[in-house]
Amino acid sequence: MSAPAPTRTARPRKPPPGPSAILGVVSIVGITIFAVTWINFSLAPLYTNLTGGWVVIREALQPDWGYLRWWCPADDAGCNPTNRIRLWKALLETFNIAVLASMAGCVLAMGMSLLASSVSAPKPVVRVVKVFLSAVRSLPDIAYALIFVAAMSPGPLPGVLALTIFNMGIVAKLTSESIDAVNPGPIEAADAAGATRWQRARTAIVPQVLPNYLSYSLYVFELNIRASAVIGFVGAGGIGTIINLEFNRGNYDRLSAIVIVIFVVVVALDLTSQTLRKRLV
Amino acid sequence: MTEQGSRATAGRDIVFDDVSVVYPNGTKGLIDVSLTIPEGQFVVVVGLSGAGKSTLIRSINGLVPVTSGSLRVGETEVVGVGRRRLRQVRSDVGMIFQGFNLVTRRSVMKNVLTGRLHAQSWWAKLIGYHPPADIEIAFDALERVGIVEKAWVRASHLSGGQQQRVAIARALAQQPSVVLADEPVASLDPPTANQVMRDLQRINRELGITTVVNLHFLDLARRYADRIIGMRAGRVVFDGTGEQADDKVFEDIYGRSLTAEDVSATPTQVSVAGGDPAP
Amino acid sequence: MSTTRPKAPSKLPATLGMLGMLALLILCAVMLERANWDRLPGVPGEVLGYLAKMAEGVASDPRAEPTGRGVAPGDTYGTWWWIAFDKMIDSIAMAWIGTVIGASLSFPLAFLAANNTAPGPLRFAIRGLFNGIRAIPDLVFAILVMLPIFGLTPTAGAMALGVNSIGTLGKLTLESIEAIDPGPMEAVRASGATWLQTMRVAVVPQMLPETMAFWLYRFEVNIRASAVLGVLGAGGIGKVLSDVIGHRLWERAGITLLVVIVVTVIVDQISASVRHRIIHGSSSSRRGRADEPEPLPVTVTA
Ligand SMILES: Nc1ncnc2c1ncn2[C@@H]1O[C@H](COP(=O)(O)OP(=O)(O)OP(=O)(O)O)[C@@H](O)[C@H]1O
Ligand SMILES: [Mg+2]
Repeated sequence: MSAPAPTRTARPRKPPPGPSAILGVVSIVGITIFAVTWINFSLAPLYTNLTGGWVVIREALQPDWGYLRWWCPADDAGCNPTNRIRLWKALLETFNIAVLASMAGCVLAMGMSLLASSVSAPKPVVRVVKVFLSAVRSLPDIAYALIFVAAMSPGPLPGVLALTIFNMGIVAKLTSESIDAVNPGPIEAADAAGATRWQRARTAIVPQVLPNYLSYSLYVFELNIRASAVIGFVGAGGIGTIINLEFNRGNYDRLSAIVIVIFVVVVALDLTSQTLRKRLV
Repeated sequence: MTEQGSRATAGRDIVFDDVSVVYPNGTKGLIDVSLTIPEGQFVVVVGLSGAGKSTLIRSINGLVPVTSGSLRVGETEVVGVGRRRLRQVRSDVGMIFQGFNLVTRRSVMKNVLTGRLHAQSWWAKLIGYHPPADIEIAFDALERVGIVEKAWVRASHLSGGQQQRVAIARALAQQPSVVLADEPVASLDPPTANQVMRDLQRINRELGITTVVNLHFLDLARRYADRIIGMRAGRVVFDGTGEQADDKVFEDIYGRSLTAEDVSATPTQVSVAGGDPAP
Repeated sequence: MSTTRPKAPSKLPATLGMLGMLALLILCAVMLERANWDRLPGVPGEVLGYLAKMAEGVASDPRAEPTGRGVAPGDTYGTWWWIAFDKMIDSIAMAWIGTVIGASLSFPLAFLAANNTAPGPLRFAIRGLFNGIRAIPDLVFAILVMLPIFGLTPTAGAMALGVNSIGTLGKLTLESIEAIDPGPMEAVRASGATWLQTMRVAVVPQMLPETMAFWLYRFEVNIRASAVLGVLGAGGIGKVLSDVIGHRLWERAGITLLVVIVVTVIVDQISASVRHRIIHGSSSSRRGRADEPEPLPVTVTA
């Protein structure tokens, strides 16, 4: 530079990196190393066993479109009409399970969420309900499906019940967080007017969280379409039943045809639901 | 010294030759602008909102592409050059923004070191390393704006005026031959605005850096400019010294008569505050 | 004499909406074949009964030897606790590796896909990839790709979770890239920086905290998802759950479920507090972007 700065002042020393940054990096690396050794994670099969996998993948890359037909071709005498329509019935069942479970779960969730926020419920109740809800949320959907299938018999009803509980956990948590964040003004006004707890919830809280609540409900509906593809694996009805069947038979060409159908259905329903959600919030 | 000496020494002027800018949506930002800004000059650009001040400044470092004409910074043509060449021009031109444009989550030092990015070697680029020499350059730049002691503080913890000085230091750390400033004081209160303008002027005088500043406040323009350029609807409508730019000229530029508030930031506050603190 | 009262606005849309929902509900219920709705009233009682048996298992002395079906010789209740815990760690390891894979692949891809940073037209392809992955259940990756290659191993599960995480994480990451303040990026570019330098200096510092919070959130989701893959044969807690509950070994199921709940809740708590710290920083940083809300998990599609 052409002119030096007028006076050269002392340079402050660079502070050492914070303990949390170091701790963060160390624990990420540490946990990863631990996890890799614990489950013997190894990418070696990518080289050694690619041929084994490749057979399956190649089959999957040629979907059996004929499997998607819901009618019998005229020249195929051995074709069984009930078998043909089974896939589509299962898909419809998936949709039905998702609708029923999200509606039932969301209705339960509204009540639970009012009990889970200190805005609308007394402190001790809130504490108990919160613990209950996080226990409910800590179990995956498949665990509920296993329980209800074992308790009842395989069929769509255990699926509906399993997803109902699963949905209730998610929607109740999200909605109770929305309730925590509502504008306190209307609540004070309701209190000042001598409203009971119930009146207060109805007039001052529910209307404020309703758009969010409906949006969460649509969100779990989206989740349920995917989830009911999974829970059918353990006998809880829906398209998963068919996936399980063809998986056990090793019909990968059929599986990939089913997957493509699921993909299309999921994308279509997601788009519909997201359009609705955008309108709500 | 070596850094600066290696650049073209002759003709470091900025030359606009029939420059026009048309935005993709068809808006004309600049229309047939021809100007020469000689090395070391302190130029202030004034004009109504939408007159094309920002467009003028941004075309110099290629942030806004010029659609026709020729624009030279020193020996380098800016119009139609490749990305590499454009980065070279930019590394020689520091820029200061109205909104400071700091990464507020990072420390002041990290922000100032942004000015040294162009000097990183390929491996330093890869791992994001800055040699001690660069850190000293950054300290030097901070010293010139008087906030060395804040070097390792998170940028978000500084006041607006301090943040703008960090931004000036960032531009200085580039060791540029030109500094562009797009409304550098518009988000600051009047006394702070004066301080920042004084910093810019001092740097211009001490280091001989060509400085082009957009301003809204006419009193600041008159007080600090070697030369005032008035713009209206994408054209240069006035070009002269601060003395020549009387109220009549400003009325021409702004297309209406002016009130006291138009002319001055807040005259009373500045005088009540006891004028300028000692430089 | 009273003035004319304005008529109340029509409640018709809301009523129609409610009726529509009700109709859909009934329609779906009717369409659900072989549902055995008549069994519904009995369910709470049955489930309570099983819960009681589960509680018995949990309350039993860990040194005692259980009686009845499904007991391997020499097994105590303690063995069951231990197996559940051990397999739960398997599942968590699987979820962690899946998250690391998803995070490290989605991170660079998101920069190539975000509107404000993408250097080329490649972004549409990458966005398509993210959306495509999101629409496919993770189980599909597992059975069509990972299990054939990696066999019935936790590696297969981790890989399936990893690929599946790319979709959601990629989408969330690119959204937080698109939400950054463009000013610093412009300033850095104006100083003559290259694309990579601009990303590192101006973009990453702005979006990294949110993105890391998404990674942690995804880890929580993946812990649950790993149970599904376990049922398919990838090992971990899902395998135990499906064996134990499938064979109606309720005492052991109670122990296993309790381990799952407790471990998951603890991991969730740790993860949530780390997320909070990342987003809001330590208490000293008042300004900055502390006013930003925590990322709403509602945008995270499993
Ligand atoms: N990115 C852009 N795309 C399209 N038109 C633009 C763009 N940027 C600026 N313009 C238009 O170009 C003209 C000049 O804008 P410019 O930003 O240069 O004005 P300015 O004098 O800096 O105004 P201000 O004082 O408000 O900053 C305006 O009509 C503006 O609307
Ligand atoms: Mg402007």
